[in-house]
Amino acid sequence: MQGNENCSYSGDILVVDDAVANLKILVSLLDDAGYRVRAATSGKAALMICEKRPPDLVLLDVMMPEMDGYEVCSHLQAREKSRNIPVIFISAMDNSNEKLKCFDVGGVDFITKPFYAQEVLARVKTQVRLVMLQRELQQLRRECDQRR
Amino acid sequence: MQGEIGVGSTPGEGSLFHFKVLVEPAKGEVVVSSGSKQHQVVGLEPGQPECRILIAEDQPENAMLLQHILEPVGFTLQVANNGKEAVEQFQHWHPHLIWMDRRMPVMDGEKATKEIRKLPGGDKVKIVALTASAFQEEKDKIMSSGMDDYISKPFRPEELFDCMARHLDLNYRYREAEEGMPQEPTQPIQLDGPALNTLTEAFLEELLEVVEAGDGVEAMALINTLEKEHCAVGVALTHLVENFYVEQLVTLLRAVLDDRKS
Repeated sequence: MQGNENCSYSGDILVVDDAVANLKILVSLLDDAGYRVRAATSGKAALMICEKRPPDLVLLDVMMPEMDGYEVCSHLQAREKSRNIPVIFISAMDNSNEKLKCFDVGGVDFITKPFYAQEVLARVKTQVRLVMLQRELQQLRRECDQRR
Repeated sequence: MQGEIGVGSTPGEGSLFHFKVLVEPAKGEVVVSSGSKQHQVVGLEPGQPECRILIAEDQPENAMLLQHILEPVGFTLQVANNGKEAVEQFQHWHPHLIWMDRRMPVMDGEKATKEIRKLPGGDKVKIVALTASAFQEEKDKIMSSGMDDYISKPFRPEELFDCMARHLDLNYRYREAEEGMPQEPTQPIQLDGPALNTLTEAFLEELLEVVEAGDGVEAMALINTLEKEHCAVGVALTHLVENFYVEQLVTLLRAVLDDRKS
């Protein structure tokens, strides 16, 4: 649960992983890259956080006790407040079926563990950029609607 | 080594695996793992000279982990992405100790160590390998390449600190020795209702609000506003926030606030 307040807003990311060591590395990586970062060690906590204050993007570990990443993503998709949050899965499982399952439940991308810092940052940047562009489009649409 | 191993299996009942190993009682000194030390290192003792540490590691995640452990304690750090960079940085920066990954592109850790040993001052720098190998022959190879020591991955922070203290003659400050600071509790920390009840309702509500949003930065900013008399609660709250105990903290805060309202 760290963040960087010294730079301009570049995205609010929730990282979910039951392994605190992994979480700390990802939080530090994203924080250093200028993102505002929040963190959760369980699916239940992630759902609560997304309900309270939805982030721009969720980085979600697949293998977690009690509620795995697939279930968390399905819940996010089912809720009004969180259904549009893009989810990038992170998993040590590297077979096609697992990856397909991630996309089936609503994930937008997949990162394989052990992950490479630059790859994580590149994938996160792409998704955050898409979110920002979507918002800009929505804003433009609203403005157009108002002029009519 | 002498001994025997065997297996017996009955369908529908189960299997029995057994082995017998002949061992002799250990001789000589008993080496107690230095990792058994329970104190948390929080810094270097005052009056010690600057300690430059070079991390030679090609995996940014691993380098970052080492930086995270060592930087807060007060070491001056630089990172080299491969053995060749380590040799170059040694010449310009003269580190006191090098954490050397063995497998790196361009130049591996053993080759880099041999190169550094040939350079002026190269015989004085301490070089410690970080190895994932558990085999003795690999460890012998590490030592014969000119390194001073090795630490097996995965390692605990205490192992790094103890190793550095051994080679660099360092003294640390530990958490329990910090004036006015209670000893770091083992996790998960037990922060109970009575302890939280010493805090105002407005503070608890505000903290609950930011913790429910998973916002550690705001939570820490709030905790840092606590008066000195709440130091112990503050340390416990900080521990929970820094280790992402979001659910536990929310449950605890809700329970205390519900109690007050009922």
